[in-house]
Amino acid sequence: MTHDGNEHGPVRDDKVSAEFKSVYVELRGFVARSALMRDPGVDAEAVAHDIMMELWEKWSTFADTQHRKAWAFHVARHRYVDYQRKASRERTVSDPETAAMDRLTQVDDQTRIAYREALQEITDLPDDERDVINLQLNGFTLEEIAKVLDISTRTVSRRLEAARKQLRTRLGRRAPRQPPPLSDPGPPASPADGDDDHDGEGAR
Amino acid sequence: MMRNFRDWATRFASRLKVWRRAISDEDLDRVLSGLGQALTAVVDDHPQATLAYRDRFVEWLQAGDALRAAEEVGSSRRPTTAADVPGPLSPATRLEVVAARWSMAIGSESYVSEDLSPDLSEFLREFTLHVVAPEQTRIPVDRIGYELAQRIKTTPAAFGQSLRILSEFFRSLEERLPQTSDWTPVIGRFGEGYAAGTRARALEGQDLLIEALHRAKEAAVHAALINARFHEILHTAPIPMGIANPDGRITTANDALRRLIGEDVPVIDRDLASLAHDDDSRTPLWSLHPAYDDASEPAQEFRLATSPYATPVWVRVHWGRHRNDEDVPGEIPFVLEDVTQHRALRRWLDHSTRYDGAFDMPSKRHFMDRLSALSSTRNNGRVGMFAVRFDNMDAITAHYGSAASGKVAKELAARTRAAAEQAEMVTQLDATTIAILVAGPDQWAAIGPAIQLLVQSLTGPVAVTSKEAVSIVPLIGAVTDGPPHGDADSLIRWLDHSLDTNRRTTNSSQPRVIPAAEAESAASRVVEAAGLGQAIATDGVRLRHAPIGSARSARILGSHVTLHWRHPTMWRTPINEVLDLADTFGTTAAAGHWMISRAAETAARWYQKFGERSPFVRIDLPGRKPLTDTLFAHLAAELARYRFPERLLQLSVPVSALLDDDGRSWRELVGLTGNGIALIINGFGEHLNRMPRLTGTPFNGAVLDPQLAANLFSQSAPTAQDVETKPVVQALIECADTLSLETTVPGISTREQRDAVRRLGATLIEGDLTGCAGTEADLEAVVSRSMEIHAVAK
Repeated sequence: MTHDGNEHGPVRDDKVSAEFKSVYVELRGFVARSALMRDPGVDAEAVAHDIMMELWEKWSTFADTQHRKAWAFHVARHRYVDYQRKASRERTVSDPETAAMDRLTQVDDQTRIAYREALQEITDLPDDERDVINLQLNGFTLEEIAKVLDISTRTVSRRLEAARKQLRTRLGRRAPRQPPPLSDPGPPASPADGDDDHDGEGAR
Repeated sequence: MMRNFRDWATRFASRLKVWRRAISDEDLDRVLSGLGQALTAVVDDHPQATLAYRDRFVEWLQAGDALRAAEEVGSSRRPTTAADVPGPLSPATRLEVVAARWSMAIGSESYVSEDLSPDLSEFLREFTLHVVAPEQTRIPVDRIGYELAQRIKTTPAAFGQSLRILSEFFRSLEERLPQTSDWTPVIGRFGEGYAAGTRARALEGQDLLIEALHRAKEAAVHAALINARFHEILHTAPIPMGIANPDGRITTANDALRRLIGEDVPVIDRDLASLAHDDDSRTPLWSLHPAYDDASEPAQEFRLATSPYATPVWVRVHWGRHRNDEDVPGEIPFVLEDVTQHRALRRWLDHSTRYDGAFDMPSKRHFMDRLSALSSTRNNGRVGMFAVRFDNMDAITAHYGSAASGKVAKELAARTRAAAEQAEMVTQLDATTIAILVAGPDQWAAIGPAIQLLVQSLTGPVAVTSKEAVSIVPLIGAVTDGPPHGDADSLIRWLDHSLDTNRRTTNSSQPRVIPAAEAESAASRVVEAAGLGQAIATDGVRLRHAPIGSARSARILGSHVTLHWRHPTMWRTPINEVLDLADTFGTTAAAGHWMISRAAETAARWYQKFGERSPFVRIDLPGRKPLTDTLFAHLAAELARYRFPERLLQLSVPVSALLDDDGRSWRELVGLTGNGIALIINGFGEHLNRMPRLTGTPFNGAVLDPQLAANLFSQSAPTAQDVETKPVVQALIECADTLSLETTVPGISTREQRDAVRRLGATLIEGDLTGCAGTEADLEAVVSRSMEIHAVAK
């Protein structure tokens, strides 16, 4: 463990602990989600654990939560690669993190299929565009995204637009039907519509 | 109508990916927000997301800070000891202190490198988690032990000390945190993993070393290898290793060496040679000790060392170099490679104790033991010994030198062994004598032909130089047990007597010198013939069926069966040559019998399957005296066994083989043909002068001489001979017609050729047009298809 000699001294006081606790859940969720958005197969919990430890070490160097988020985003961006390598060596069949991710990727209903496809399409996007979408999904505004990625707002808009266009097209190809709203799955599709998903006999 | 069409068009377009419409922005927003919620649900579903985990995590982080603070203060004064661990700190704080002490304990032998320190901390943290919060652990504890053993080299003492520190830490944890898990099983599992890792590492080290030693051909490389890794693995390796001084006295021995020699045998200050196994064994087990002062020539020899409480083991000694430069002057490291651990070497060593080196035959002692055992039990009846003496080997040695003579002896020994394969045991009694032990009714039954084969194969020429070959005169002696002979030694003496007697009667002469080419050919033939005999006995040969078709319609009417022998090395040898050779060595009859049996079986089966339209089976019999009494008897037996109409089994025999020594046709032929078999004259056109003598013999067909058939369709420029071929063939076919013989023309490749021979009057054709030779099933399939077509056409 490294020691950075920050202004609070080696032992952080209760104030720092309280601050850390207050943002822990949010930051950890953000880090884990970011890692998953980059690669659904990554050991997101391990990435989050390490980044949170590192964050604790470097707590005093950050001005605010947004600053920490930006830092965490950048670290998570590279860290998952290490974990991926490590996981390929050590991961067992019953890896709990993978099992958690598998729950999302399980094909249990149409909604999940749509989300899985969307996640897949997002991970297939170019790095620049994926980062923008990722941050937007995590609730960042355009200005915040620009700040995190150190680019202009205009560039953010352009990338966002390009990413959304790509996603719209690709998801259109993948799923011609609209996914039902989250809150209400809606009535089951009619038999005629359902035929689209089958072998095409009905079209002849 | 119009709406239906639009619906259809929309559906169709939606099926083609490129025509699909992109989803709307609203849909995309809906998908993305749903995805965000789903991801959050997944991420929040982990224990890490709980507040309890957060609080413990923060506590743990704070403890880490406190530890570092304590360590920094401590290190400025004096080294931290167990007593210095600050009491008021939280349990996790002490973890770091323990980690530091642990590293120190493990690294006390300077085995742990700087690179491994982070690994050590990581392992220790995981280790502690197994006690404090098992649900957070990512690596099983035994895996931690295993990895640690793999990565960090330590001594048992240092490891024990580090475990004590850890136990102490856990005990203090238990006092402070009653909710922690029981740490004893954790330590236990860790220890098991560590032990497994140590074993694996030691074995790996041993394998690497031994592999390297095996590969290293140069003695210097051996020495360098030993020196390089010696001290590193001396005390932990399960290989017997030690250090000797220049006087050859052992100064250091590791545990494995002590175990090998015997735990209570004093090793130190003893000469390595004095530890060798020394009993009244018949072979010298421990040769002269290598010269210790000759560093340029480290010895690697096979020795036999022994432990008083175990069976003797074979070891190979690898000597290192003097270590005068950096280490203690005059240290000579040595490694005893326990070669009995290597299966292949062990087999070889076991083999070498029972087999003689030169001819790789069972040793004489082994032979005598077996002879005594057989004589004493007598369960198998008579026991006999035959001896073969290569009588003029001395002359070969004198003329060509001992190397050539050794080569000849080796070749002859190999031939003897091949010929007497069925015998109980074949061994070399002395430089020129090979003994064959025979026991049991089967071996006695086979010994007559075997000795005949042996004499023939031994008299065959053996190449001594690139230009010359020799043949020896084998002396055969024999003796059987029972009165007046007594024990095995007495039998051997009588065998010698028998050989001497034979020598006086045969009066063997100088070796005959033969051109080498002839010798090689003959030698390979000997092998082939022996192999064929084996192949026939073990069903290692197959029948190949070449279709014979009608000259009129090309429909398959029968099959021409040849013997196909898939010999591993002699596969290119034409079977006729092999059969000729087999004839020489008396295996023709076996081949003929085998072919007749299989062909009759096939004919019977086809008759059952195809009925009246069943194809015939035609077999060629070798040219030299094929029609022996035993063959007739065998044929008759097979025909009686499988009953099928006449002509389904056809024997194709050369004209030369149809007349006995007096030039008259075999009387048995008449009896044969009345028995449901057809006789075919093979090579019709040869020996025409003999044809009148066969008048009255009931032949059924003739196969045109292949050479004549080939000349008939020769593509080369016409010569006088070619011009004459056609009238000759025509005359032959007319002649055959007169004799009511169906004529078969071989080598027909095209329809034109078929038409040509049909116009000349031929009935049957064989060649590429009818198909190449295949298995029985292949021909059966062709016939089945043809019959189906025929049935449909009808």
